[in-house]
Amino acid sequence: MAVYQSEKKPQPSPPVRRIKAPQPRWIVFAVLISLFASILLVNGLVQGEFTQDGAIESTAETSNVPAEALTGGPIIQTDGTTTSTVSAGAKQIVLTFDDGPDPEYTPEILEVLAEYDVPATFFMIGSEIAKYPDLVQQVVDEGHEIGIHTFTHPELSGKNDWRRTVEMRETQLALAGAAGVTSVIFRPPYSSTVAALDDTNWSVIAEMGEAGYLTVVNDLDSRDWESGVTNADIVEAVTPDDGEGAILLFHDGGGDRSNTAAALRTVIPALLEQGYTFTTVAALSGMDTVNPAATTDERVLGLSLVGAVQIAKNTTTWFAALLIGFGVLTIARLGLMLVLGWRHARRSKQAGVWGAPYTRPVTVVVPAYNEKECIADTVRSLAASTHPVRIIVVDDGSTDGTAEIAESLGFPNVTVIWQPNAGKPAALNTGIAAADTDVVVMMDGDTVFEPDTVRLLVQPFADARIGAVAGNAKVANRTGLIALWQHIEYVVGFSIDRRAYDVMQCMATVPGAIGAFRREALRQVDGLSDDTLAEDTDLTIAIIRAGWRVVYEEQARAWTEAPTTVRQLWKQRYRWSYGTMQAMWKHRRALTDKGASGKFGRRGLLNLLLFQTLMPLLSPLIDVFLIYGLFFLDPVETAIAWLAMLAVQMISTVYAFRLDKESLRPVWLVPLQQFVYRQLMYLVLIQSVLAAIGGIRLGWQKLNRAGGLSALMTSGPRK
Amino acid sequence: MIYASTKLHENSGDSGAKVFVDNTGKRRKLVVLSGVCAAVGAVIYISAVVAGLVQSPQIELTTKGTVSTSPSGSTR
Repeated sequence: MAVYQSEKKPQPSPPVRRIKAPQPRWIVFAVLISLFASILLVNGLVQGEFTQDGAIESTAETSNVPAEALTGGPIIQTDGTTTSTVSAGAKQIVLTFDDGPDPEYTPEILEVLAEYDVPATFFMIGSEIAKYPDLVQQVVDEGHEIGIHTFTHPELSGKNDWRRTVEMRETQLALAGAAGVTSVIFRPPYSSTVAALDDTNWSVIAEMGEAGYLTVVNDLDSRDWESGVTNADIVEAVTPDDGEGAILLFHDGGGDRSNTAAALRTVIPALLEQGYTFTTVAALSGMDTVNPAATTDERVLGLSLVGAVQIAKNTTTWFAALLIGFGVLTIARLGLMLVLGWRHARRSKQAGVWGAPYTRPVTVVVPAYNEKECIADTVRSLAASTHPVRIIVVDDGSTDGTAEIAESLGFPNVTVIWQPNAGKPAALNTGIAAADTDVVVMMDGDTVFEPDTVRLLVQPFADARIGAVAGNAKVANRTGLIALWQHIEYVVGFSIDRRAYDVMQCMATVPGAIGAFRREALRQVDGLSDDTLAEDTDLTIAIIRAGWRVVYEEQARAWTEAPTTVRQLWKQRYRWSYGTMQAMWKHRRALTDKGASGKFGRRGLLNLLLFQTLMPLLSPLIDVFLIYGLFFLDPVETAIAWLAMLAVQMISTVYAFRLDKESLRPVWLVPLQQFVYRQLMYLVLIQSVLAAIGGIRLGWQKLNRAGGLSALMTSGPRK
Repeated sequence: MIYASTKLHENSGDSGAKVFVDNTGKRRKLVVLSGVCAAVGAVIYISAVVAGLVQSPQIELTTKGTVSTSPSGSTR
């Protein structure tokens, strides 16, 4: 790299690069989020605990119930005006099972039925049919009957017409999709015997009768749903008096049915021994079958319903597992970071930890591009340094007189170099080439140092192993929500994360706002590269891979102006996250390297990949899952889990603020951060990932600066 | 003030060898195609769920359940 005198030539204005956020990208994103929400909605509906919907008490009002029904058998046909019923004949038994299919209990029951070669009727829940279609097919294949027991097991008399229709039709579709059949028999949820018929449940039975259903209630309840019930209790409950026939009620789903199969092994032989025969609803009512074949339309719609439920069930299961895994990893990482941060803080308190004080002069390189608002403050702050410094301002083709402002300040130790616009890495390389000290400090043209900053920053170079030192960048303009949120982010990021990375020797970024480098290290890695948009990350990783140690010096503070609008923040973070991913990809071979490079790869790169890329990408889905939890899981448990995570975050934030001796006042904004700032950050990341995968070229984005950092530092929020 | 002439030190310069950048545009097309496919899949899924609800509003059975006058059980 050569630096030489040349004529200043007029430069064309730098190309204006706009970040494009094509609308289709966000439409696809919205559609995919809607898909995930739909999947969770479907899953929530079919996984809902149907016992939550309690049965209503039977009333004494029976004025609308026909006498034929009140005194008749448990198989009821009605068209609203005429009613017929059928009872099981003498010594005839119909075994019925409600609330299945269930992956555990239904196969056990089928095994017992096959063993004794007796038929049964399964009144199935539509949502369970859609979840376990293979079991439904097995029930049909083994010659048993299937009845409709609604889709979600609600008390139908309390539901409107639309809901009742959906409950019945969706169950029919699920049945058609699972086994290619429909059903003409129905059992209302929470039904009992004909003695329990009243005006309320009769309205449902009459409606179903008009639609063509036979309603099947029971004669004897096995009570297998009661806790503590024994086999003997069940046998006694289902044995009819005086050899009468009966429709028996058992359950193969909806709760703990572990007694049912075992009880059947006692009940069936006992009834057979007493001369009973086992029959079906079809046989009792005189039909060929209660499960006629479904039409093609019903099968197609049924298959799509079953497919949708299967996708929902599997997706939710996998996502929940992923969420638990990431949750555990996040907590573990946070715990580790806090411990390592504490260790770093202890180390920092030790005097002379790096050896003898480093007193040799250093060069401070200030790259600047159109920084007329800030450059004077920046240079003045450096000129007031308590450490001997030579200041090199490299004006990277500014058109606003930045170089002239720096020159006009008249400080003897300031050199101003003007170069055609070539980008920040090139400007820094120019400054490095012009430097003649062992240590080069780099900063941004919109940043202000404290008088002691340089002195504190360069102390670690007393140790010959140190290749670079990261300082503590702080937000100066802490007014407004966006700036305050960034302040919180900076404090946590520097006060905990960078301390931990220092101890773990995996610091991926010495920030461009404040960093010091051994010139020998810079020479080894050939200076800064413009391969990526995060030249500071790229450089830091290169230095670590070259075998140098990179540390963090929290007392060396630099004050910077944070973006104050969403648009500016978006631009900045778009570049940062895109650039970081570029640097990660560029240095991906560190993962398999040996020595310091490999150590960094397996710690630093994996940390960036897992916690700063993959997990934030899942954040939109986590937000949707939280809403799902509030509606379909236990809302209290969901809220507690969310609040617990927030509390952990608050605690670590408070700890970070304490370590950095910052006022705790902004910490109350952390909960609010969850609702706007976090979403903004993950949307930026999604855009960056799409840009990276799509191979889109991004350029530098010049941020608008208000200036006046020195004034902010004196009147601002410092301790 | 010193005036410097400088150039980016990478061999690639602006020739397109920057990390991730695909000057051919093929990857961008692939991303667009993937996005469209994903959106189509999503729309199909949502449509299937909605169709199941909307296209079957009738509770009426085509084959109705009946009780025979001479079943094996006793009719009342």
